[in-house]
Amino acid sequence: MALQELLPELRKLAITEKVQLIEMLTQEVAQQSAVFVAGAVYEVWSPYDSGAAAAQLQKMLDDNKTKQNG
Amino acid sequence: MADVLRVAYSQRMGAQGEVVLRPLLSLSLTLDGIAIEATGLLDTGADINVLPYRAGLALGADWKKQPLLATLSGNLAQYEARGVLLSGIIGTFEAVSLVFAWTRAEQVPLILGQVNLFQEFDICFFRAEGVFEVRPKRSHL
Repeated sequence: MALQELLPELRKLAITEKVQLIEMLTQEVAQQSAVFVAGAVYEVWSPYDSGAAAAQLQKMLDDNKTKQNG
Repeated sequence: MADVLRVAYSQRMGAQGEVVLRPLLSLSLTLDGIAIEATGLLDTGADINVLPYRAGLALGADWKKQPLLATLSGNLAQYEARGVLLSGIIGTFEAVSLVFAWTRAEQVPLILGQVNLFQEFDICFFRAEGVFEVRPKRSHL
């Protein structure tokens, strides 16, 4: 069935049903493609903003270098 | 000893069954005489190297003896992390000191980031050719 045929029927739905439909379709699309969905949790392991930890690790390296040279 | 190590991108299967290419680098990590072979993801956006919990245990590292680190970012923020200093060998290059954030996270890949893998090695990506090249920083040549 074409979307143009469905639209008049969909517009007859109650607002709560329309919201349910939107959520259901959003979930389905997210599962079938690489689309990001608001509120969903995605794995981003990259520590791209870990400056404080980076400074601590850098100090460990520098201290080790000083120890080896001293 | 070769000056440059040329490595092909690794093919991995994505969540939807698609083939994805990843810059994965094999290296040997050592701590107090215990060595493991590992494969790390070259991540130019990562501020730090990240060592998965199990890899640290395999190296015999003692969680309680390692210094506590500031909270990491992203998904790693929910896990405590500690600093650990290792020796790393890539290909036939000389061993270098590599420092890692050793995380309690189990699912995280071994990540090679700015502090300090990219401080020790110059790495050029040729994604269109599906390869990348690694060479020690100039002071090591």
